[in-house]
Amino acid sequence: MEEETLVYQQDEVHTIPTSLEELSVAGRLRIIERRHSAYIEWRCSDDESNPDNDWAVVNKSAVTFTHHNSSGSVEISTPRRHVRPISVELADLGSYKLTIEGSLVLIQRDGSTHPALQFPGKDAEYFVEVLSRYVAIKRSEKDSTLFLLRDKKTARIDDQLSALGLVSHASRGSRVRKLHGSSSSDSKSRGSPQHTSSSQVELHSAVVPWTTAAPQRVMGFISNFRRDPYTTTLTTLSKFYDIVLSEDDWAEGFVSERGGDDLNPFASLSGLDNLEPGFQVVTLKGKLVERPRVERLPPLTQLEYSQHCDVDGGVRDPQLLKRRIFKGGIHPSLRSELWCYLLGYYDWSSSSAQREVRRNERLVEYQKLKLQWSTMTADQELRNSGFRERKSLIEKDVNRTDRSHPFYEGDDNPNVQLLHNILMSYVMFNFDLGYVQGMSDLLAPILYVTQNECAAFWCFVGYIDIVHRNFDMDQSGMKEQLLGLQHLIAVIDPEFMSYLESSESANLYFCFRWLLVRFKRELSYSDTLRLWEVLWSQEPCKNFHLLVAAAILDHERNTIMENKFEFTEILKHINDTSQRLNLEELLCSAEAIYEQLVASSDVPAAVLTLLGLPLKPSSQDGEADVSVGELASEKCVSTDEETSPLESSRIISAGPSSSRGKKENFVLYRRCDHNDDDDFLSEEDTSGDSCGGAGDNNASVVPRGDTSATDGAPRGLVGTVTSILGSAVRHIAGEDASIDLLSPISAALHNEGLFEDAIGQQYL
Amino acid sequence: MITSAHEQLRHDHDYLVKFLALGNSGVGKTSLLYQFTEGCFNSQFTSTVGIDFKEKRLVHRCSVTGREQGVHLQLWDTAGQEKFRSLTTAFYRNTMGFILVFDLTNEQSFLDIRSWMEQLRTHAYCESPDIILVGNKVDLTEQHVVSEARARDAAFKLGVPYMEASAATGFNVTACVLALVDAVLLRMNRVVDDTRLTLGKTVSPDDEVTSVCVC
Repeated sequence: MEEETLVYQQDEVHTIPTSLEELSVAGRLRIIERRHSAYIEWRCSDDESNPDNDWAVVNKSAVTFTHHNSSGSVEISTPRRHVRPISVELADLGSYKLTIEGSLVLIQRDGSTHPALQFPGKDAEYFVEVLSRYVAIKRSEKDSTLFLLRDKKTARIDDQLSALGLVSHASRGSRVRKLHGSSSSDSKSRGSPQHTSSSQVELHSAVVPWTTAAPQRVMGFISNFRRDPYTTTLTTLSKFYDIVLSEDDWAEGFVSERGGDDLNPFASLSGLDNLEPGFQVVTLKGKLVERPRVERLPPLTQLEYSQHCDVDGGVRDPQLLKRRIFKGGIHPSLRSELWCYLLGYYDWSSSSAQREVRRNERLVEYQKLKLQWSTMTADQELRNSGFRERKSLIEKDVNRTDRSHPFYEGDDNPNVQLLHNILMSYVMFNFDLGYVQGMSDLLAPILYVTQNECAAFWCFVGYIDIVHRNFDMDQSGMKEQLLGLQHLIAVIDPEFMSYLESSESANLYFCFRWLLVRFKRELSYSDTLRLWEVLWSQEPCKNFHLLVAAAILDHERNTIMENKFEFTEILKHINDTSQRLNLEELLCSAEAIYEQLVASSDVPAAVLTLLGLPLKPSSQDGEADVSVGELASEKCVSTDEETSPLESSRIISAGPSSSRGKKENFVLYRRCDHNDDDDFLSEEDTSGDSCGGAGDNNASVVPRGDTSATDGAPRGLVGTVTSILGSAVRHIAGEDASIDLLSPISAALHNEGLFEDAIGQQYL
Repeated sequence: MITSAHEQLRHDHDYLVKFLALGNSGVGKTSLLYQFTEGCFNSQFTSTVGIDFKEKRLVHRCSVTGREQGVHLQLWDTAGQEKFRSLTTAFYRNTMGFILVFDLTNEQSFLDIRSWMEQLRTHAYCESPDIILVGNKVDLTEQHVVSEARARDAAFKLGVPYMEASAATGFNVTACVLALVDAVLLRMNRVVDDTRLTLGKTVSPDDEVTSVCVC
């Protein structure tokens, strides 16, 4: 046994169940010194006797979850959970989330994210104190529950760098907060679904919010420049360009985006942190209204449902009922009946008698389909490779679908055979679509709820009708959804989108699984059922599942950005987050985002169309133009990815913003660091390339409309910005005593006054 | 500091090596990778949707030079069904080695090896990337439909090394992966001054230290 020193130990640290199906497990949290490094370890208490056991299977026989279904049988699901011990070397720990309620989530630098742990008495103070002996801990400015860890040495260097005086420190004092103090504002923002916006509000209320992060911004800017001078320069250019071309618009847009009217319009120069590589939309979008608070309702009960029905058993106002299902879901006892309506097996208006007829007709139809495959002889199969292939895929997949769920577990489980039968019948029903991986995931919960082979089949048919684009041969349905999600995020959180672009993650591949099987792999079984019925209500708009995806990303955005996760880390973090989402909270956020978009006036047409919302007359002209530009340029970017060298950049105009009557708005798309993962999107049909002169490899400003005044400006600005960057880099390298920021700018521009103000504000 | 999470890894001498597992649906890609990283078999896997990866750090001794190197292995796992290829091929280009898996008990998975090889040569970073062909489920002797001789012959024609393994028992799993590590590192060491991939330093002594011979 090697030598270890125990420096911290806490018993009764529990895991936090995320669903009714889960039990909380007690364990022991320790910090241990071993071989000159320190480790945080948590181990299930029952597991103490056997420290080498990698997995503890906790299987207590208590019944925690009973499910009464309509047939009167009672399902008992045994709570069962694999509880994996945690062991993290401190050097690998990038950050942790600690709420005021004492729940702790450890997040590693590589994105690995551990299950939440609950401190007894909600008190983690001593743990943090011990931790701080080893690492420097800094509370995130964006998320008060997020704490970032740094090596103490690195932290010292950082402090020295910021002490160099590159940036004004005037407001520093006002931003310093006690590291683990529990100020009232912290508790306010904690646990609320709108935590992001509320913490942002908190940020804005501080005196001059952007300056504290400025040293990092300068460093970020310089590191970007080193990494990719070309695109960094061009983005910088675009920002300056915006100022020159439409300073009023720009100021207005930025102030509102920042959310404080008292801010100096040149606050956006603090946006040096936005000068990340990747393409970025620098439009002057109006701000979205604040996200409203949304309440959800309890599930629809039998009693309430009966009030929706007329004497014949038909539903009086389907729309009203669907709205109700959207707001609260359906009580488990009602599910098997109502799912048949939601998935189109029954008509809403049908009477009980009509439904009986329907059931009989459909049973006959189903049996015909079933005969078609079950009577296929081995000899026939030999000559039908398409059938063989589908059959073999189905056999493989049903044997690995939800086998840990009580309904499907165990050898020779008859329900697994039912899954097989239904999927095979679906192959005969729709041979062209056939079977695609993911379908068994969509079917299993339906069979579990309906408990009837024929009803499950027709409900499944209804579900596939909704999601069949997920299974397109060329995956174009998935590509469109990912693109739609990109548009959504770009509108509701441009800063995050810009970050994703700079970290080569704008393709959002890590959301692929969410969308393909409609979050089934991310949620517990009961939550999956709830989410699906909410989505099937088709309320309040189409593609609500993309808003759910946006809500999850919104929840993770600070963790991702503050940890500076790139693609692999994000993927790992996102995959680790599965089964730990709080569904009701997410649905609140998703609905709040919806309400926010509905109430905002400047939402691009692409997003309105995506959600099936009416295009707003006021914004139709200018904004529609912009979004067409966005779509077109996106395609354009994809096109040249295949042909152009790595550091291609594009500046594409999106037409004048006629709604405001200003000179020009530019949408700047930047590409850099050619991302090898982009094939997926670049396979889009790009023949309709409408991006005008953006096809060469040099960046080009392509103003559309009357912009004679701007001729020549770009070239001068490129030079200007490059020289600023140059001097910045020289300064960091120690060759120059000071950053000569002002002179090149004032020499190059007529609007010197503005720039001196702006830059003076920032750096002098 | 503005460094990416990668750069913050404290190890300053590791190679980051990315592998991708390919092959028909259900041949055992996920199980093989899981067996390699976790050392056990979980029979209750679900089909892989989208992409995922697993990681393992190890110290590798080169079979030729005997040099020891820290390796941070990233094993990417993909969905096997053809329909998902437009997603998965996007990940080929970042991959240094391919673990091409077929199921010894499934004729079709063996026949499809040819088409996987084509995919791979089209989308990989170079014409002849490092590949190892793995016949999985060697433990299910009774059900074998692809003989070792036939598989070896096919591998020879394709110009790739072949190994048989079992994700269920763990037989040869580590050997397969390490053989590929060896091939990739040999290639990398041939490329002088390729410091781009250098990541970090050492690995703690309790990590697996293995020397490998390529068959």
